[in-house]
Amino acid sequence: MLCIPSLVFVLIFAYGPMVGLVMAFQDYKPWLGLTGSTWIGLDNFERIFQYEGATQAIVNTLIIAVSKIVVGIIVPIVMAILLSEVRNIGIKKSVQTLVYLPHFLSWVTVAGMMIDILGLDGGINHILTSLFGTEPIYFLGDPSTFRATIVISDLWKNFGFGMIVYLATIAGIDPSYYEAAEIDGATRRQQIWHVTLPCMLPMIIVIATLNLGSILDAGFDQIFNLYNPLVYSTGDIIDTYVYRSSLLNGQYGFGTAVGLFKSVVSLILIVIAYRLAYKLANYRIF
Amino acid sequence: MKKASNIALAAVLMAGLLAGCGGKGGNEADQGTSSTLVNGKYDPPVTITIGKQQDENAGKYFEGESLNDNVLTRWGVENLGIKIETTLLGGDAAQYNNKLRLALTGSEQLPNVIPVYDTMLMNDLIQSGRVKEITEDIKNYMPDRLKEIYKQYPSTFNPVIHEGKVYGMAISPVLTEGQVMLIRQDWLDNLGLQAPTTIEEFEQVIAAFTNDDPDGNNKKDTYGFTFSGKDSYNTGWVSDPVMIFSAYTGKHIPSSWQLDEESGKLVYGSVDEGNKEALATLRDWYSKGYLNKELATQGAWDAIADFAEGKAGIIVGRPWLYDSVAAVETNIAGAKISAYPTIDGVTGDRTYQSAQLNDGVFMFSKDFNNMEAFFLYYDKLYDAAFGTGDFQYGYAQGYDYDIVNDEVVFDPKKFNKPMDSLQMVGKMAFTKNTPAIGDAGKNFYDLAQGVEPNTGPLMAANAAKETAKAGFVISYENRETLLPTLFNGPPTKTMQSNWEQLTTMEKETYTKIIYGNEPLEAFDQFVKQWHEKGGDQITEEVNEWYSNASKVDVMSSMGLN
Repeated sequence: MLCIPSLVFVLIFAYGPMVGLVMAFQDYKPWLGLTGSTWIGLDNFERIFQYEGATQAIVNTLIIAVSKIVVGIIVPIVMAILLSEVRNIGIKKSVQTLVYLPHFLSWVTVAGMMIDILGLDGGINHILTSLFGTEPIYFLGDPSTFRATIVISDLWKNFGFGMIVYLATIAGIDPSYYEAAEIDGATRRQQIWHVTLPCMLPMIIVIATLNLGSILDAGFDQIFNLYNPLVYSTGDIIDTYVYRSSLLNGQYGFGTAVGLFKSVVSLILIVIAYRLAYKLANYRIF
Repeated sequence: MKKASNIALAAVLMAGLLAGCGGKGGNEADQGTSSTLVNGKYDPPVTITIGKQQDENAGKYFEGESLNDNVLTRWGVENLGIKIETTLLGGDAAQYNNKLRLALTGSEQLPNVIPVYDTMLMNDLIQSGRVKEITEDIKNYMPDRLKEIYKQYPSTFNPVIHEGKVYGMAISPVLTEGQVMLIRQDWLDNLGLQAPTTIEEFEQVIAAFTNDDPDGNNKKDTYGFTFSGKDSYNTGWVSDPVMIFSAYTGKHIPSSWQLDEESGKLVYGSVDEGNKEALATLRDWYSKGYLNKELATQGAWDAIADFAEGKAGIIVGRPWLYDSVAAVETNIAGAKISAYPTIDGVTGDRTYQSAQLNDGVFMFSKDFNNMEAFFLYYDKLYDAAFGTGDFQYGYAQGYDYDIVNDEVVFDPKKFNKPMDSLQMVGKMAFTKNTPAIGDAGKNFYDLAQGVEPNTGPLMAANAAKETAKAGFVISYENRETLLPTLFNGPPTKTMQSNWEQLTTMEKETYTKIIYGNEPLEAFDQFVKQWHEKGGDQITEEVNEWYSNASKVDVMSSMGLN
C-alpha cells in the first residue's frame, strides 16, 4: 500500500517523459506535437556522426570522462583511508569539511576564479615561474594541458563528496576484524591492505558501476564555462557540441537523438559492469 | 518515516500538477471587450499579459515593489486603465527562449504580448499559427509619431514577414550608438604621441605603450590593445577588434552579411580575403606582446579589466564603456581617458562596425484583440524619449530622476534620498530596453552644437560625464560607419544543420593564427573548406531570402510610407 505514491511518482516522472523519446526519430515541431511531426527515421542519428567535429567531440568526451572516473575513484579512496588513520578528531573534521566545501560552489563561480588563477599572469603561473623559472603555462588556452586542467579541477571540486561515502564505509567496518588482525601481528599497513580495502570493495564496485553510467558525461557546466576556440580540438565534448549546434537553434529532434544515444551507451556499460562485478567479485549490486 | 515523507512529496507534486492543468482557463476573463476608452483611460481597466526576459538592470526593485507591482504598473492602471502583467518570465536569453518554446507546445498559454529575441523562434511562432498578423493593426492603431520612427527602419520587419504579411514589429527600433576608441591620454602625453588615425600609427602607439614604459614606473607591465576573441571577432559592444579587420576588408566585416558591389549578392564577411592580412597583422602584434595575451579565454566583458586596471592603453567599445573603466582615473594618479574615433582603413576609407537597430521584436498572441490599448501604452513609454507628457524628465521622480531645490538631477547620489544607481523604470514592466529616439547619440551631438538642455532627454544627456559625452558625439559623427547585417531572417535550411560547424571552424582558425599555433596559410584552407562544407549552399539560400525580402513591399500596406 505504502508503495503506491512512490510507484505513481516513478510512473509520472520517470516513465511518462520517455514518450518524448520518439522525437529522436522525428523532425519535431512543437506546435505539431509528437503525433503531427514528420517521421524521418534515423536521420538525426546519422547527423551525430556526420561531421569530423562530432567524432572529435565523442573522443574528447570519452577521454575526459574516463580520466575523471578513474581519478575520481582512486583519489577519494586514498584520501578516505589516510583520513581515517588520523587520530586527532579536530584535524580530521576540519580537513573533511574543507575538502567537501568546493562541492557546493557552482561551476560558473569556480570557472570565473579559475580564469583568473590559471591566467598567464595568474597566481599559479606566478608561483611556477618564481620556483622553477619556467615560461608561464597557458592552462586554459593550450590544447595539450586543457584536459588535465579539466580533470584536476573537477577532482578538486568533487573528491570531498566521494570521500565521505568511503569514510562512512570505513567507519562501518566491524572493529573485531582489526583486533583479530592485530593479534595475528599485522602492521597498520597490512591492516589497511587486508582488512580495510576488502571491506570497502563492495562499495567501490557499486560506485564504480554507477559512475560508468556517466561515461559520456564529461561535465557540461565545467567545460562550457572554461573552453574557448583554442582548445576545441581537445576540449569540445558531446554536450557542448550539441548545445551549440542544436539547442541554440531549437533542433529538438537532434538533441533528443543525442540524449538517447548517450543513454543507450550508458545502459550497455552498466549492464556489462554489473555482470562483471557478479562474475569476478561475486557481488550482486541489486 | 521515509515512506511518510514520500507520500507528502507525492501529494505536493500532484497538487502542483493539478494546479498546472487548471491554469489554462485563467486569463480569459481579462480579454473582455466591454471595456471602453474614455478620455484616454480604459474603464474598467484592461489587462495586457506579457512575456519578459529579465535582464540584469531590470531585476532590481525598491523594497515593496516587484515585477507586477511597481511604480510603472501602478501608473498604467491609474492613468490609462491598463494593467501590465508579466505571465511568462525568463532569466537569461537561453532560459527565456526555452520557456517560449515550451509555450509553443501548448503546455502554457502564450502571453498577449511576446517579445522575441531569436529569429528561429520568430519563424517557429509564425509557422505555429499562434501569433497574430498585425499589418492592419499597425496601419489603424499605431500613433503617428511611432509610425515616423518605424518608417526609418524597414529592414527590422524582415524577420517577421511571412508571405507578404507582418507578424510582429521591432522593439523600439533606433540606430544604437557605435563604438569609439578609448585611449589613456596621459600615456600618449607622457610619450609625446598623437592619437592614431591609421593602422601604421596605431601600430606605433601600441608598440610604444608596450615597450616605452608609458606609466613611467620603470617596469615593463603595460601593453597596447585589449580585446576579446573568445566568442566572436565582431563583438559589437565592448572589447571589439572589428576595427582592425575592417581596416583591410572595408565593409565586409567578420560575422556579417554585406552586399558585394561587383556581383550584387550578399557575401559573408569572415571569408573575405582581406581578413588574411588583418590576421597577419594581429599575429605579428600578438607575438610582440602588444595585445591582450589572454584574448582567447576572456569574454568581451572580462577583457575590459586590463584597461580598467591600467595595464592596457587602448580599448574599443560603445561610449558608455567609459563609465565602466573610469575607475582607473581614480585609482591611478594622473590617469586620464580620452575618446577618439576608430582608425581609418588601409585604403583611406573609414573602418566599419556592426550596427544594432533593435533588440528583438514584439509579437502578439492570436487571441489578443486589444492592439489599441497596446499602442496607447507603448506610445506613452516613448514620452521619456520625446520629453513630453507625464514622463518629460524620466519615468518616476525618485527613481530615474529627482527634483532637488527646483533643479532636475540625474545623478542618483544627489537625489533627495541618495542611491547608488538609478532605478531603470523604463525597463520595469514592458520593454527590456528603455525606448529611445534619435540616431546614435544625437542628443549629445545637439548639446555639443550649443543647443540648450531644456528638455528631459537633453538634460539627462547633459548629466553624463565629459569623456562619455565626447564619445557619444564622436559616435554620432561617425554613424555612417555602422552597418546592420543584411541577413536578419531565420536560419536557412543548411544553416540549421551546418552553420555551427562553420563558425566553430572560423573561430578556431582565426584564434590559432593569431596565437601562432597555425601558419597564416591556414586561412586559405579555412576559406576553401567553408565554401565546400555548406558555405556556398548557405550563401545561395541567404541570397534567395534577400531577394524575396527586398521584393515584398509590406511598408505601404502598414501605412508606413
